[in-house]
Amino acid sequence: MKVKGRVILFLAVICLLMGWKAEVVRGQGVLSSKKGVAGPVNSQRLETLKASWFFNWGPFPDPYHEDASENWTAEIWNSFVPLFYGIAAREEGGDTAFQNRLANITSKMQKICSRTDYCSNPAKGYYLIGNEPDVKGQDRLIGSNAADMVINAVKRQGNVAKRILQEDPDAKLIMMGWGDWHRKIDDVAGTTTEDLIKGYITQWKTQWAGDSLIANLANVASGWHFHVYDEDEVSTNRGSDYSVCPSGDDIPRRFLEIVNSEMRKKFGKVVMNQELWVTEMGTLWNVPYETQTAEREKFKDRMRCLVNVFENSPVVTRYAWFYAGCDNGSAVCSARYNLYYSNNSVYTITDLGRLYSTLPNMPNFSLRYSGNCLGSSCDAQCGGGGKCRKITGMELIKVKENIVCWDGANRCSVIENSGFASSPTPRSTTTPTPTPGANLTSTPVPTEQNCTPCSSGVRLKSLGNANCDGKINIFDFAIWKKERIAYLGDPQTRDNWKSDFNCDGKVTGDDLTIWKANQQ
Amino acid sequence: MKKISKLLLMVILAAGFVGGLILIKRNQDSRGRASYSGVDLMVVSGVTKINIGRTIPVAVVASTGTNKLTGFDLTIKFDKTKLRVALVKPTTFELVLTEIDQNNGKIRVVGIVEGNNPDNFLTGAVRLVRIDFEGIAEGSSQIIVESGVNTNALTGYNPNGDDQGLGITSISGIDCTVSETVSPISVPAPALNFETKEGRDSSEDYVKK
Repeated sequence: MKVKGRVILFLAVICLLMGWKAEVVRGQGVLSSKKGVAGPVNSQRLETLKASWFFNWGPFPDPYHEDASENWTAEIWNSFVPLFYGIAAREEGGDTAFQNRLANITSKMQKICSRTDYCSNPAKGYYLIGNEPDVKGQDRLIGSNAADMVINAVKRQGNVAKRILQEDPDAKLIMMGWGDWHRKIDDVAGTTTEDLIKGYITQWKTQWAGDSLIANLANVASGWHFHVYDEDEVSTNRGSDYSVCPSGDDIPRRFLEIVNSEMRKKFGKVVMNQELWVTEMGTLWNVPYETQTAEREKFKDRMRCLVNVFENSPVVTRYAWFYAGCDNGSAVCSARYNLYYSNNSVYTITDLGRLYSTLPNMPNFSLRYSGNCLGSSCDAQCGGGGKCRKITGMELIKVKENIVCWDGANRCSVIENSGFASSPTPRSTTTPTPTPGANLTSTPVPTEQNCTPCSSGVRLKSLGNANCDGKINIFDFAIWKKERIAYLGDPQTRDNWKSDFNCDGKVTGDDLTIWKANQQ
Repeated sequence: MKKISKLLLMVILAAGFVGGLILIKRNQDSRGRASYSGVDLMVVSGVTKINIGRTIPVAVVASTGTNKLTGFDLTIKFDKTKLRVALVKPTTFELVLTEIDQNNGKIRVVGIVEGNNPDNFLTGAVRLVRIDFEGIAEGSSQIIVESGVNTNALTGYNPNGDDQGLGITSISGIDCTVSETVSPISVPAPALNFETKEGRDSSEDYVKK
């Protein structure tokens, strides 16, 4: 008994010393290592958004201040992924500008490798190459037809890949970076992303055949990245409904099918353990965030949908919302896709940012504690007994245990999987039919079972919409409160509670947690 | 003829009066269906004058009568050029959302009652939230709950009905006067001071959207 008391006392002291604090965090699924942001964030904003990683289209965490102190902390490199642009193909002739740009990549790589543990680190060492080589004004510098465009993209990305590999032979290169699966390619008529992918792989075989370092694309690439914005039907009929979400993960699956088929044809094999990153996603629609219109709500639905789809996709390894920053004082700050807007360098999270911080929806999982963590002491801090396992910030977290410990960025967090712990047997095994335009829910999101659902077209009740008015607000809480009191007075399992959001037949604190995570 | 005219006029006036009463009643009925009872909302404070750099603590109070308050979703507006939000502090309600929009001079707070014993739910004059505003420039600013059909919401415990919403019957605020500071207090630097910008950097590596 005495020993036990001393152990508890010791743990308490450790916790105090380490700044450990109990903290119930709004929102679930916040520990997804897939979830990232595209934009210039710092550690603080990244944590607020509950995102695991970010990139900013540059090689350093703060692209405008290469020597800024935050560029060189281990914490930031646990979350940051460098991106190198392509090089203009017109400069292939060896002119001074081209050589300077290649030297520029080499010097930046040397800086990264000499000052951080990023290089040659099996858990890290990712580099994004290219940014929208198919989009005018982005990485597409010249080329007025599809063939030229693809050849140029292959030359540029190949040159960049060589410079990175020369400095970091273990580099994991995520390549391509196509602008959008569906979007028409500016002024190149009749070209689809499928054509571009096939052309890219074919041209790589042709252009780099004699290069000892990068001849075989299957050995060079670790994966691919591309962007997902509006779908075909939305693009061609803008103004109707931009909350439409890709059907499951059809897009990434199709992407990989094409890539792998072409890779087998040209290189005789596919990339081992290839990764697929959606490095930008969202909408190009301008919906001012001050305007809480129905359109804005659809926009939010799109965010929920995209996050949940990609989070649960077995082929997407990472995804990032565009955009996490904003012009200082610009009117665009308060508009459309921004997770943050700024004014005089003071950053304010937007409604979208707040929503993003609560996604993906995994109502059974909740982050119970968060605090500083020092390596091996993690387990003790999380309660000991080996339940806590360390996971790097880049590792895909699959919550299958009661408790896991996340050691990303030297922070220790405990996920309490209440659903797993109690494992209520579903009272119905009927497979739900997703409501078009509503959140796509897949495992482990609870689905409508024997609960009384909202009528078709209304946001799913499983998110906290007790009165089925399409909104999740204080009125839904009031219903929960009323029913909670009724349930406590007569704790009967029923299938017609309005606020039984997780469909376990009861009105409990778990339902309140779901409402809190989704209330707007 | 005159008598007939007078009589006719009186009949018309009486009919108009009765008609008006019916319309008022109908209006009240329709509002009654939207919410089962009414509440007065007030912003109150012990002081109305502050110096620049000093704070004025205000409380948002709901006069609920006998209604048991369970939650609120309110937006309070102020003059962003004169005041800024320095502190938001919960009272007996758990704040599940605090959204400070300094750019537009608004703050939104969503609070919910804790506990599940209706006997403990507050009635009468209930303090919902405390907000401290800091004076940032000379002048006067009204601090008031923003009015609007969809802006605010209050809920009460109504065990016998489906409608949990409480109607807002009146809104009142305060006028805060900010004067030049006598003993200046330095304004703390923004917590998030990480300079970033969109656009194209001089190096092509940094081309962004």
